Amino acid sequence: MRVAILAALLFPMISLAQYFSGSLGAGYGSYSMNSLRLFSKQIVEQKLPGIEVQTLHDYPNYFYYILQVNYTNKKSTYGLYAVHGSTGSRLYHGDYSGTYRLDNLVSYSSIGLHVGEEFAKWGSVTLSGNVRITANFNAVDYIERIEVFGVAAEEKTGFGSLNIGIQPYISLRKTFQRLIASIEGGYEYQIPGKLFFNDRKDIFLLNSTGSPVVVNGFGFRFGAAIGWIFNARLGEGPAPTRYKKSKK
Amino acid sequence: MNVKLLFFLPALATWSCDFRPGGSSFTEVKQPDVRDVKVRLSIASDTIAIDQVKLFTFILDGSDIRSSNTAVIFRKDTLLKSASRSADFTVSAGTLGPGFYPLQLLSVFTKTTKSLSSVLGVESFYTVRNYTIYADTGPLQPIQITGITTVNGRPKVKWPKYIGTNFQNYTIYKRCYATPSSTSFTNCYFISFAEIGKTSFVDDLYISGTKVDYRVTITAKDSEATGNPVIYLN
Repeated sequence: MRVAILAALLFPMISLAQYFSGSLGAGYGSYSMNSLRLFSKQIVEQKLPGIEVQTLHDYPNYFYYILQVNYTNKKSTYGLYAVHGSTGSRLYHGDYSGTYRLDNLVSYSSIGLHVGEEFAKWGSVTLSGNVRITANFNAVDYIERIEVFGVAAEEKTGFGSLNIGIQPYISLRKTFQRLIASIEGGYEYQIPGKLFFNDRKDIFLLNSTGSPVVVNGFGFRFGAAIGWIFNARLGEGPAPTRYKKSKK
Repeated sequence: MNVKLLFFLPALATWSCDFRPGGSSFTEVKQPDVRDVKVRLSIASDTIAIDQVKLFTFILDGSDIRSSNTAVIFRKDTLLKSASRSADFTVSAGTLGPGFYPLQLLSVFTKTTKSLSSVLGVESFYTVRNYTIYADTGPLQPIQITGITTVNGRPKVKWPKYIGTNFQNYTIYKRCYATPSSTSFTNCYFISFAEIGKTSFVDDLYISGTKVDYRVTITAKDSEATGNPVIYLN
């Protein structure tokens, strides 16, 4: 109810055909990461020339989590959302004398706005086209560990960057009373920013060819979410059909 | 309201579910074979006589040596440290008394392999070669006969190899006695050998039943020294 009141203050033009909802979900994302991939290999090639290093993880598809608040006005939806996701890599070499590994942990926390427009509706099921505009705050850690003849050393270095992204996606949504279940799929494009040292904001990473190292986080996103309609009592219009019937 | 709160529980778990790479993999890398790596002097002998100052050259042999550091240790002093595979050094006997002194060559080296430790430069091996330096700084010392054996009825005289410098020859002197009990003798034979490695002599002219004695005279450094006579009677 508090959220509904707050939303009402933020959106004074609320009509009976409007409602607010919140949802929480998870998805599966793919990530390009070609810049970090190249940089990781360059680190190893420079540090251990001639060593046969195996790629055990190469920025695989991985889960992300999403929290969003939507304002729906007839066929249009506007919202705020937050996403957290991660991926990473591991380069590894082990032989009789010791082991070397370079872990690259990449995580991002994004906030953004999204707009959507309903394409089609079948009862309580709606198909929408949407666009998200995101600010992705990336955290990149390089953890390097060398162990030779039982003597180990580990070093961790952290970096951060900001990417601006745009994500067109399609969502399919079904309502059950106040409950909303949705699935979505899309692709995120990003304008990557430079990776700065965590403790030195004036220094950013360059690879061996002199190009800035960036987090290329663009890729496919497929997710599912469960939501809740907060102020359905006000709703008519696009509010869930079954819910409206029960209220009448 | 309680249902709404449940939405936030997964959010709390979100940040603990980040991707974490794991796993390991072993790469087959052969350990370097270091048995072929040897350090040596350019001189074949293990015991080397010097009387003043002598120039030596050490040589580190072996395949796939990536880096090396060789130390030459004479007595307890380091005469040379070199990262080269071969280098010259000198040993001076001028201040030494006559006698035997140890000379050690110690090479620490790395081999070119694709192992982690090799690439990091923390895998090293060593090889050692010991030599004996004989400081021939005193007067010429006589060589004593070490034994006379009978071979096919003939006396075989043995003596140790001369280890000093400037060898010229060995001379075997034979004295013949009139009777086995006689103490008077005549110089009846001698023979010289110019080969330093010659350390025995079979007297084919020996007449069975006669008393003789033998002495070895060493000629070196333009001087002579004669050992004690050894009597033979068969």
